[in-house]
Amino acid sequence: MNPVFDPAAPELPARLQSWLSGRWGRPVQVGGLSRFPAGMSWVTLGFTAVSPGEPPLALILRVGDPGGLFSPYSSRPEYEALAALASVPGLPIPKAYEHSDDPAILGAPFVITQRVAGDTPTPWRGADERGEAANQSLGHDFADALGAIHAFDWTATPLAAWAKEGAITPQTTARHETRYWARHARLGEGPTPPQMHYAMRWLEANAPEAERITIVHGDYRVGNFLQQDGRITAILDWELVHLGDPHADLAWAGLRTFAAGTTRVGGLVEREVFYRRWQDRTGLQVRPEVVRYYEVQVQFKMAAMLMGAMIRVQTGRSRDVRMAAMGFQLTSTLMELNKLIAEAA
Amino acid sequence: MNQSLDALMGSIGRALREEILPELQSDHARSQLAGVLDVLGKVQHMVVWSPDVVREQLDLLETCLAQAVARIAAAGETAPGGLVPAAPLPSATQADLLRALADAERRFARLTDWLFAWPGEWAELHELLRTALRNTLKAQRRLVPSADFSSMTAPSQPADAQGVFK
Repeated sequence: MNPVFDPAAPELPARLQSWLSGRWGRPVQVGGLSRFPAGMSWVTLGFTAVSPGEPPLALILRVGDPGGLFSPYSSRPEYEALAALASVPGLPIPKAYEHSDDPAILGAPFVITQRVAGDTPTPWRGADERGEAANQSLGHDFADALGAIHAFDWTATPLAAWAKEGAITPQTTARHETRYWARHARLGEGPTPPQMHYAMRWLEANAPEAERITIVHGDYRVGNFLQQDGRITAILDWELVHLGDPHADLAWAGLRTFAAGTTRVGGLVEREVFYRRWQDRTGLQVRPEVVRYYEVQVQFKMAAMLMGAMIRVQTGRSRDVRMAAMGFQLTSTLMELNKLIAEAA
Repeated sequence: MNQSLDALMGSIGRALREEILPELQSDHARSQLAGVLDVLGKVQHMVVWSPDVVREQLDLLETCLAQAVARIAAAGETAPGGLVPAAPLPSATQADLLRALADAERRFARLTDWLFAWPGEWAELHELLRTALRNTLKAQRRLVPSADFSSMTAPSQPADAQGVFK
């Protein structure tokens, strides 16, 4: 029997309320717990927490569903990254309140953050409807926020432990990421698309050395931020955050898949503008050959995610039929991977 | 990596039974869904993928392997052993075809490993492999329409949505 987190379980509000009351040392009333429909990985719920004499808090509960796309989960990376980055002036991220990996509390790892106002643009359409002014201002915010994340000195924060645990160095980071996603897709353990095997060997053979190891968001793209009136109000979905080469985020953000049919980054701004603002923020120079390498690697990662979804469907570990739909995208993703390797070779 | 049809049908059934059915308030909708689940359960064991695509992918990989072995020999080099099967595998049934494709994919992976371990850059051989890979994917792609992830992740009320795709 697969472990399953049930967001509709009637006892969930009481368990959350009891735990928060203990953590905060005062009575906490949890209300309005409701699930958001989006997301195939962490389950996202909104709720309010009210304590006597305190203003009500609008919060987000994210739970790492054991049946989710990247399970098994830990709440630690997302929480520690958000907590560390809270000191960066002007960086739009939600405040991190609590987290735990103890399944005895809610049944699965979870993170509690501030609920930020805004809506989520989809990465597949909407660039035209938003209008040029909104695309420009969102694109500038998108580049500036990424620059701020990559400019952050993490070495004196708890994130320094990540580098030691993962043995992340400028020399190892590219191959480390390739191995991580190869393991996720179980390459070599079961049916392995020959294109994935070829790409894995290509990535190993061409791995560049990073100029600087930075925080890498891991899923930095249109669709993973909230916007209001043409400005980004919060960068979301930090579950894949790690230390590595910042070019990985540049490549992911610029994937054709997320460009809404345009040549712009995320369908928002021209690549040159995006890069220039990022360079101004980080003091780094974009290395085009490294971007091309990471375009291959993040496409490999995308394919690995899809394979992970297929494996979950085929082993009966997911109740989410959207994962079956994801499996059908593998072929077109591998075709793009083939094309990117040809361009980079 | 072709999707298992049985697993796909199972996934659809599980989502309908465990995620949709408990949420339905209308008796009519519940009875319709019960009918869908019944039909799905029966169809699950009656359908198979078309074998044509598997056969086409197999032919493309075998042709590439044979050409690669010939080019390696023409260059005076020695290809790794067993890249070309001594005798063709039986391909009478869908299961036979899938076994033969899996075997060809394993041999293709062996050639890939050998090529990347080659001391130097053999661009012509890389191009041969990438072209074969591209053509096998094109064959598969012809069957698969795009998925509409916007509809799958967008709330009916857009305010305060929190992320899409995953």
